[in-house]
Amino acid sequence: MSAPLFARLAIAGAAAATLGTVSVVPAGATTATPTPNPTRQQTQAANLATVKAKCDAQVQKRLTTLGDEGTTINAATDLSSGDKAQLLSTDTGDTSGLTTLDATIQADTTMVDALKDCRNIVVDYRVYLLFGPQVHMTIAADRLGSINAKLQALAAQLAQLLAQSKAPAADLTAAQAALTDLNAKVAAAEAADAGQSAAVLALTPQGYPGNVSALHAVRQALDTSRGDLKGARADVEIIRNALRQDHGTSSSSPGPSPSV
Amino acid sequence: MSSEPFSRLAAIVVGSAAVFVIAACGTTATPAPAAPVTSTAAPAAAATATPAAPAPTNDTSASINQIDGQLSSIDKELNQTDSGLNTSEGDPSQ
Repeated sequence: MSAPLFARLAIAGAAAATLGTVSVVPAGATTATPTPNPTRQQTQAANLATVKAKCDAQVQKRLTTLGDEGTTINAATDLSSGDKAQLLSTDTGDTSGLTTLDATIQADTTMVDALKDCRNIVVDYRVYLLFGPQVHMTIAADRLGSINAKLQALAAQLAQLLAQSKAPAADLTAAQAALTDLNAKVAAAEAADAGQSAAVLALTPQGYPGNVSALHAVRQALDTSRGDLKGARADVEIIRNALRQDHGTSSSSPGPSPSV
Repeated sequence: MSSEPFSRLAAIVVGSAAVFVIAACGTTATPAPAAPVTSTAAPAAAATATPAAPAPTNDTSASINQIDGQLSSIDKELNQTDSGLNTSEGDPSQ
């Protein structure tokens, strides 16, 4: 029964709209000669309602995104506890703030107020242009740190294995060179990644768009670190293959190396 | 008087014996420096311990297999970083 009721309400609403101001405008106004004024009021009310609906849609869209970002943050295992807490705090704060702002917009009685408040959905939060990048760059920065630590441990392990190898020195020349390069790349990656999560987390919606260059700088540093780590990973494979050859086993790769 | 040469001979024999005894004592005294010889055996033992390190080929193979596992984990994380950074570009249409 609820669906037909809803359909009848919709038809009634449409009919009322078609008939004009009868059911909306005060009775006094209808008895007087119809003037453009009630129509303009109705149009203004309709326009305000349209704006409010659009603003609400924008808020709901952002709330969905914030929910998704929250899931991403909680699932990121390499994220440091401090960075995770800061991101979740922003996520929760934005969710709460946008919900309150939406309620304010829906209560606005003038178009001016509604438009002003609606603009704040964007400029006060920058969910897409700032918070999203902050989430993904912070996770990437912390993950690169984790990869770096693993490669450093591997470098030490490989150095020991090379030192113990009985293979002629000439056979290990390439492996030794790769080990030197591995250590250099890991150090370079660490330097590029250092402080990047703090730098990106320090950016605020109020600083946008002035802080776009800082956002790009973080992204560039993370790209550099990632490139160095991929190079270091390739070095590990060279050394591992040399060690495998030394032990007479086949040099099968553990899998396709990540695309550069 | 016939016993005089005999006694001289006896004296020579005793004297020679004494020399042998002294000589013998000298040889028994030499084991003292021999001690360092036995002490040098310690580095020899260390030398035999050194080759033991590269000996466990199985350990090395296990290490290489472990490295393979870690490389797979690193590959996974690098790919996650790629996709994360690719989605970190803000949507300018918003």
